[in-house]
Amino acid sequence: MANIFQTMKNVFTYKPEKGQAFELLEGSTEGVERENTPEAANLKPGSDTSDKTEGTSAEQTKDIPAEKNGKKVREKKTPLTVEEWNKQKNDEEASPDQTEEGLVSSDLSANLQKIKKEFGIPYNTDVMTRKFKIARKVNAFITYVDGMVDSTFVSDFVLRQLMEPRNFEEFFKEGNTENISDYINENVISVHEVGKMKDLNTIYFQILCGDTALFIDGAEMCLIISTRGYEKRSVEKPVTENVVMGSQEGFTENLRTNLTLVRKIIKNKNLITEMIKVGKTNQAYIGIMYMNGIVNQEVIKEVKRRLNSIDAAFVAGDGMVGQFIEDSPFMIFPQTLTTERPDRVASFLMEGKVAIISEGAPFAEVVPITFYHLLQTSEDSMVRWQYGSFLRIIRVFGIMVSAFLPAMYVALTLFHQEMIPTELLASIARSKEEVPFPTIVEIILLEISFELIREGGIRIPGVIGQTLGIIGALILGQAAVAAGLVSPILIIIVAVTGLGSFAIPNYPFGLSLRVVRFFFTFMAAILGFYGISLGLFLMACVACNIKSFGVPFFAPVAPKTKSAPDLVMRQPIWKQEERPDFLNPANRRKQSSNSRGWEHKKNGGKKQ
Amino acid sequence: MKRVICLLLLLSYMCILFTGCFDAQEVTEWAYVYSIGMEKGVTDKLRMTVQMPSMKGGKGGGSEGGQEQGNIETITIDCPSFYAGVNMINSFVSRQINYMHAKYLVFSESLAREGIDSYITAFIRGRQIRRQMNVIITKGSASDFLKAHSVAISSSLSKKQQNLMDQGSNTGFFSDVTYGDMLDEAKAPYGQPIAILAAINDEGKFKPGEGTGQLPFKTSGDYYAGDLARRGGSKAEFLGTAIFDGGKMVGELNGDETRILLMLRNQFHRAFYAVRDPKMPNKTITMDVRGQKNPNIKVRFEGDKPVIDAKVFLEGDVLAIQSTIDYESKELKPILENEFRKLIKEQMDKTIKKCQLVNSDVFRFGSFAAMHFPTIPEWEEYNWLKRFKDAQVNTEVDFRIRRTGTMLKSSELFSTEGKKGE
Repeated sequence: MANIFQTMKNVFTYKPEKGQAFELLEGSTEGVERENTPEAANLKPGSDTSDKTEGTSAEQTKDIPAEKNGKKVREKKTPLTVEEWNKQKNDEEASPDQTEEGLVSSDLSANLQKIKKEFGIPYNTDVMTRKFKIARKVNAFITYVDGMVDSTFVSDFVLRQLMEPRNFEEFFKEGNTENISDYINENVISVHEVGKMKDLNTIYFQILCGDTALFIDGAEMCLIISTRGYEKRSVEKPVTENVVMGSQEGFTENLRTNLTLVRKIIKNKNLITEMIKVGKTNQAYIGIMYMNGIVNQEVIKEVKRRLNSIDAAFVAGDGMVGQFIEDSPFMIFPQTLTTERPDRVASFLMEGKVAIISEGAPFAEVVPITFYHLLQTSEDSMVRWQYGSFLRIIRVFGIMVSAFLPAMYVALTLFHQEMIPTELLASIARSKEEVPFPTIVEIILLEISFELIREGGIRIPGVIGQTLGIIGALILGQAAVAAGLVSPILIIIVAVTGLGSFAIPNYPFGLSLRVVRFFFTFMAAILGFYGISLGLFLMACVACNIKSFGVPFFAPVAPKTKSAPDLVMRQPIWKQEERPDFLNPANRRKQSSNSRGWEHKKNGGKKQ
Repeated sequence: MKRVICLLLLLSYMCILFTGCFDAQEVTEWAYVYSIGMEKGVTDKLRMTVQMPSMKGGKGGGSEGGQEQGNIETITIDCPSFYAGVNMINSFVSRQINYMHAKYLVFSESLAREGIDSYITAFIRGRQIRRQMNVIITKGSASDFLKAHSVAISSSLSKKQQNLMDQGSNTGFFSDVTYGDMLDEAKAPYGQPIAILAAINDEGKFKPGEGTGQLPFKTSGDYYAGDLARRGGSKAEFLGTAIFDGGKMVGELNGDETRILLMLRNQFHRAFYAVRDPKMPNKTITMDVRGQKNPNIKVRFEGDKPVIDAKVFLEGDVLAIQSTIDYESKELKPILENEFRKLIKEQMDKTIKKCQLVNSDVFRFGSFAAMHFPTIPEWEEYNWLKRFKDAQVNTEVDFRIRRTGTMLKSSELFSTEGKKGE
């Protein structure tokens, strides 16, 4: 008995969580303007990968002009250059599981045996090995995955060059002490990217990625020749985030393409792409993109810590990545922003957010986000601010309608008939006259059939799918009314609700509202408006508790922080001078307070 | 263990939540009453009438539904009290009577003269009773009136009820007084309640055939409800005001007097007035008259006798001048204004006298007199409502013509007799 009471007490008492939740706290160096001094010293792996070697960052004191509180001298880490840091990173990645037997042997047949064993040749028909003689003299073979490489490229620029004896005249001259693999790398193969590798595990992975590995008899090195040429989709229009004004490019399934699409928009040396490998078995690369000098390093650290800690066999696409790294998996609202548009990613990066782009799905995840980002589209900033604000208001209305309209209808007709205008009430009553079901059954019946049409419309192939949505809804609705299953006014309610949910620009958010709607309808059916308010209160409490990478879900509003006037109402673009404060960006100012320089005649509109 | 307890708690919460369903009722389980009528019963204390629309529209709600909307069911029953009657009606009406959408509360005149205070103060406790109902006193039987009050030009009864009340502010012939207003005024020592006067017009006043155009003409508001000489339209007629002393009806005002009443109560919006042409008594000049600003009412005491100075401010546009006299001109405009001022002052004095005769301060002069009393007990002690009849009332009317319509100047007509006019 006491046990039961104890457990009950535990259910009701509040206990702060023990685990170290990530908080994005105000930093001392935050908001100091220094756009062009990348602070890369912080870029080291997160705490759980501390077994790796730490960055050798020499510490050096440096004066920072202190703004307010006197002439304090702060210690600051000297920034590493990106190349240095990349090198350091590569060394770290190469270091683990480096064993003696995992190295390339100087015996060609031994290498061949190992490759055959590892890739399961001849059972595995995808991996090809081709033996040949370099310049008719030296034995060698190449290995590649059929289909992943561009075969004409391999034939023309690898095999032909290697077999041609004239290319090796220099090498076979008297007194040449040069290593054959160095010679080939420097003189023979005219391919843009060739790497030398010793570690077999890395070589296997490179082969799997579509590179060609060249093994040469007597060399303890393997040349990895970049010959990737697998089939991929070209850049197309985004499917889920269509806009009228603005860019029409969408991401593809190819990571490289996606990174390039973003880089094309931000031509800045501070745009950093870090690669992290996740997925133990499928070994997918994930690109983390951010703007150095703008982004808060704490966020980067946290993103990397979370990504590095993913321990799963199969991670494909950013949707799965997002689920692994989000803060509160049991909350209904999305905590990462999924977008298909490179221009959106670029604008988020410029605000100081981090984009996570992965292979396999044409989407990128942006963190940290707030509720208000889910209402915005890239179109809002492309059109003039009056139109942008108008579109946002319509969208907010759509969200309201999508979440509350069926609930409102149920509450009104069941509990609050006095609030309905008399004539409308009469027509509702008249149209419901021959319907045998209670309102709640009617509305659930119709909502579910509408959801069915939506889901079915997506699965039905091609041309039929699009027409089915409209025809199905029309005919089904009409027939349901004629058969006396539902009242006609309900068709309007459900149709408007559907329209409202289509107006939500963010698909995951739209999905969450579709679920929430049923909750509200249920609450309305048992308690009327009081139930809706109760549900809303609960939902708001829960949503206020969500954090996306240390940023509260309703951030610039609750808690109140400074941000550019671009939440729901969008003010003119020249007024949006600052990056959101809740991100604690390294550089807070986005543009000068006088971004329309031409208006000031003194200096003739020249940049100051 | 924790999981089990959470589940149990959830289930018990559900039990509490589901109690909310007990008063959930579908719209098809109610019968919505649009008007409630009450008069003296024949076989019981009260005869109650409810008017509700038939829900026989059926599915579709399309074109066929539109015709059906006109079907109004009027049910009359003798019963001891209102709520008892509601139950009695449910012995033959399959749906629960719901009067939260009732718009009219109709009392018969004989009941009102006997006193309706016991009714209006009684059923306000009901949750479904709305204070926005309009209170109507009808001459003759309330159930006959409601039967006659059917839809004529529109197909929807509730819309007709609403629109008709809005017309009150266009004509000033009746006030849109509500149940809540009446209740407040009946309970206040500052003034007396009023109600809308209505009656069935049986077209008895209408004389068929071509007449001769009777002169001198009557003013448009010189009628009580049911007296209009007319033919066609809905038989129910709203015109004039019933005035009360507490809960008892003591008199009635005609259309013109109602306009004056509204002017003094600061509820007058606009009305068309046909006045005698000062220079050609056989012709009329019609004006669109609006209230200009709040009436200026001051109450002072000469000894124990209250003296009331009331001044109303009106303005208006000229709508029609039958003669060709140029009343737009600077010289003639004051003549017309004076003529109208005289007319209104005359009517105002007459109306106030009439109300003083039955000692009913429906103008709410009491609220201005109360300023002279430092405490409420003293004010209640003074008993203004009793002393209203002794009050001396000085009235004044201010009227300005603002615009002259789409014509700046009246011009003469030409005929075989030459230039006509002047």
